[in-house]
Amino acid sequence: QEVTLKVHFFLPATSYANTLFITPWCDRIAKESANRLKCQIYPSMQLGGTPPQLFEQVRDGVADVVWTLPGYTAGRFPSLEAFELPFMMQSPEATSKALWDYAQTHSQAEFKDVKPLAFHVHGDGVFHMTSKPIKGLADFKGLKLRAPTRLTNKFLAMLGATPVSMPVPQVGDALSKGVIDGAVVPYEVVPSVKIQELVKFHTETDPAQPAFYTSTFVFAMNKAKYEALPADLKKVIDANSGQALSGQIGKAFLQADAEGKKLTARNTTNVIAAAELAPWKAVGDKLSADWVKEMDGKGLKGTQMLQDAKALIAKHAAGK
Amino acid sequence: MSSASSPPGDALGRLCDASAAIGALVLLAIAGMTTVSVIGRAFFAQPILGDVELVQLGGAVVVASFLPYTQMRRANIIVDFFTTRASAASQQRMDLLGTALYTAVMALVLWRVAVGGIDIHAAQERSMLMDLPLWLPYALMLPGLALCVLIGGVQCVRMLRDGPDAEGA
Amino acid sequence: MSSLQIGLLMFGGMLVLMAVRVPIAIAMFVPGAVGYVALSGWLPLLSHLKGAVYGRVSVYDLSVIPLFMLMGGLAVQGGLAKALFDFANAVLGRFRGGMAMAGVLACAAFGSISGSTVATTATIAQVAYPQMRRIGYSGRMATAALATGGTMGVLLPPSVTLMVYAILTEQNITKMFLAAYVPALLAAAGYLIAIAVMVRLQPQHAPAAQAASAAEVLQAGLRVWPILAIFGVVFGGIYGGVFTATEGAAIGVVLTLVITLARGEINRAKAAEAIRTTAQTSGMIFLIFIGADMINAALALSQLPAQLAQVVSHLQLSPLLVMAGVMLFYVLLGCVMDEMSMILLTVPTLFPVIMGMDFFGLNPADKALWFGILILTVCEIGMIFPPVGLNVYVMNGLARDVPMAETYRGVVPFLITDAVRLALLILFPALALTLVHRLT
Ligand code: NA
Ligand code: NA
Repeated sequence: QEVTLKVHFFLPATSYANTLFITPWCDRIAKESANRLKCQIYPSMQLGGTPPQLFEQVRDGVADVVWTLPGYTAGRFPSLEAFELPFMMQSPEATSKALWDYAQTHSQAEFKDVKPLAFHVHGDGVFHMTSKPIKGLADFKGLKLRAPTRLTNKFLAMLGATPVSMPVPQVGDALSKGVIDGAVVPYEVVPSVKIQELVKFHTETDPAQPAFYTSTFVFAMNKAKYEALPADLKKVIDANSGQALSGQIGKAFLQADAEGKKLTARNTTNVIAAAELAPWKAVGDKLSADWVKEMDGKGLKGTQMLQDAKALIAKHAAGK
Repeated sequence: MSSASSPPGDALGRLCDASAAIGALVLLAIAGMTTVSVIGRAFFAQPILGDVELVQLGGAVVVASFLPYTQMRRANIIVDFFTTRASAASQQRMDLLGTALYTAVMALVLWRVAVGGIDIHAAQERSMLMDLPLWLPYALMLPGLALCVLIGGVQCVRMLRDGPDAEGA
Repeated sequence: MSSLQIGLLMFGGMLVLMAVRVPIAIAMFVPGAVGYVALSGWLPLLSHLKGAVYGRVSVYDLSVIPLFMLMGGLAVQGGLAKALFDFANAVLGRFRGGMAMAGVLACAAFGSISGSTVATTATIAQVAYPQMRRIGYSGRMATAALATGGTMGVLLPPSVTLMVYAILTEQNITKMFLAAYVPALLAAAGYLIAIAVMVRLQPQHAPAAQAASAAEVLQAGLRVWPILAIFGVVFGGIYGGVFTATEGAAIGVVLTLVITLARGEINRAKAAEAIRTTAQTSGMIFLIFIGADMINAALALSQLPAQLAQVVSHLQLSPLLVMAGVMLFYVLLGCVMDEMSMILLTVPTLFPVIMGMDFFGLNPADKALWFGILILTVCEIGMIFPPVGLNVYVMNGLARDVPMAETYRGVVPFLITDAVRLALLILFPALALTLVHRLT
């Protein structure tokens, strides 16, 4: 029995996400199944719909496998937001493993309708600015900044900027037309949007410090499609999913960041030093506290979730 | 108004007019809100947070409210290139097919948008900045889509009943 | 049945339905839905439709269509559009066909910011078409000029479509834009020549040249300031990066409403008429989008471009023959897709095929830029190519008094210049590349 998986995502085929993670994953399952499991890759939302609709698509079988950001659909996956709070993530590999473990306890209900293959995060979020560089907290006032998720939007608003929410594929157009002054995305996204050609300035936070933000991703398979696989093919999927895969993707994204950063060499890059980050972190702490309260208000265990997230990240960072 | 022949048609026509008017009001609201936001941004560094998502949500409602009016006016464009020499009767049969297919497609769309809205409601999805429930625009699209099905159905019935020229635009 | 066959059957089914007067949007939707079921099944189709329609009608950038329609409608009803045209005509009426040329150039300017052929034609035509008819242009000439004019702005930088091509093929955006200038100029020159020749050969399609006196120009100029002020704010703001096209359109609606109300030029009945045209046209365009979306999704699912690419590479044809085939394929796709959908769907698979072939010894980077210009050129040709073409439907929908066949007859001279330009671009890649080499 041969099975073809329709793999759908929003970045182009040339993106690092595809070349360093999705296509290699497809090659691996093809090899380990003696070509009985194959992918048909549909990048750039070719099958239709919008990036926020990818989750519904895999749940309902419009696609068999998708890669997407739970954060594109605000309110739907509150538990994962713990990882999108400011200054949580240091290593994408460790944090991705932690996210997988965390999701096993806190996110089962939210993802019960799909078969999650991996949960992961991207590397340090970076500011990419067309004409107004960010050198410090004072520069945020009046800036229109694109952000990916609910919490990043809130964080930027608290820092004084005007957040504009849009999925990555719209960022290039928005930057080129001056709809936004800049965007926050990791370096990994740079070539997928041609950010290096659309902006002049980049701002990183001290790389030795936790990232000022990250986003969570889910790589998920349609549940019925998985259940219908013969036992040996299920095994191939099982062997290529879970905590290990999550960690691998996190690692691949770190590599992608390094590659993407090379492309920006001709632009100016500012680094916010650790000492200057104190007031940023104060705002971040406020946001975290607000979030915990909000979750508690919804009857979710906000305090517990944040604690567990931090503990798991620390545990995996320590290499356990 | 497309037809002055029968009273129920007139009522339906008025509904389509009303739907278009509601769409236009929403469109004006979008225009006003966006203008306020741009002025706020340009002069006071204080735009409306979430103006973009309001345009998206509102835009869906505008389009759905406009669709029945277009069909009532028979303004959904057709290619008349190949059939200019066909007899009135056979053109009438073709238009009946077209309208029937339109009605079926819109019924399918109505059904699926309704189910989509229910799913979004169950998933508690909300807009990013304004925290608005995202099932709302789905729900607000339904009256317009339902009216499309209704107007298409009535046009089919009339063409069957009255023969050619009953539905002159 | 292979997915390639299903893809081709969908195309055939669509053409048949269109030929028997089924509304275009529905003629796309039905075979698209049937093909989708054949390729993927009932449940996926039903699931797809839950989100697809909302996804299509809630696009921020597409809100410019109803907004500009309403702005135009108010300007038309309030007499502002007529004032603008009277002024333009006073200046340009001394040249036969001058207003048609102005319409084409207005489309180019608008298209370069809107980035969408369909939105461009709909917006400009709504204001310009009735006025062109009023001063004596034939339906054939007026619809053809505006439908064709809408196709050229997309090539003009800043072009979102070219940007997406550059991303998909890993080309430099600046170089990509530089490569577009000469071809866009050629397009403009070709269209202006086409108009000049048409009005000479068939003078009945355009009003006679009429030189206005200086006093007449001045008088028309005095009435034109409100609309010029609105355009200045709206387009100045959009070009200047102060606000987005959607924001500009919104501001345009508010300004037009305020000015026409203040001047007492709009009343209830006129406002209602503006709303009617807005509703009717927006509904028509968005239903086409919904239908096109359905067949696009099914065509993507069928992997038609990938399969064709495979067939082509197996056949071992000569490069120019392959290029001709590719060009033909895009003309066909232009029936059902806007430029962005065509690029997103086809470039990932066709680009490697082209890159694997030798064209005049071009290096890979040059070949990629050149192919991008060719592809976008031919995408746009596809959108006006008979017997179907997305942009012609839209234009024709705005001109209810003109049969589709008339519009197509009018489009032919423009298509001849398109064919000449395309041939030149294929045979002389330097036309696109010289500027790139000189300036980078
Ligand atoms: Na452009
Ligand atoms: Na065509």
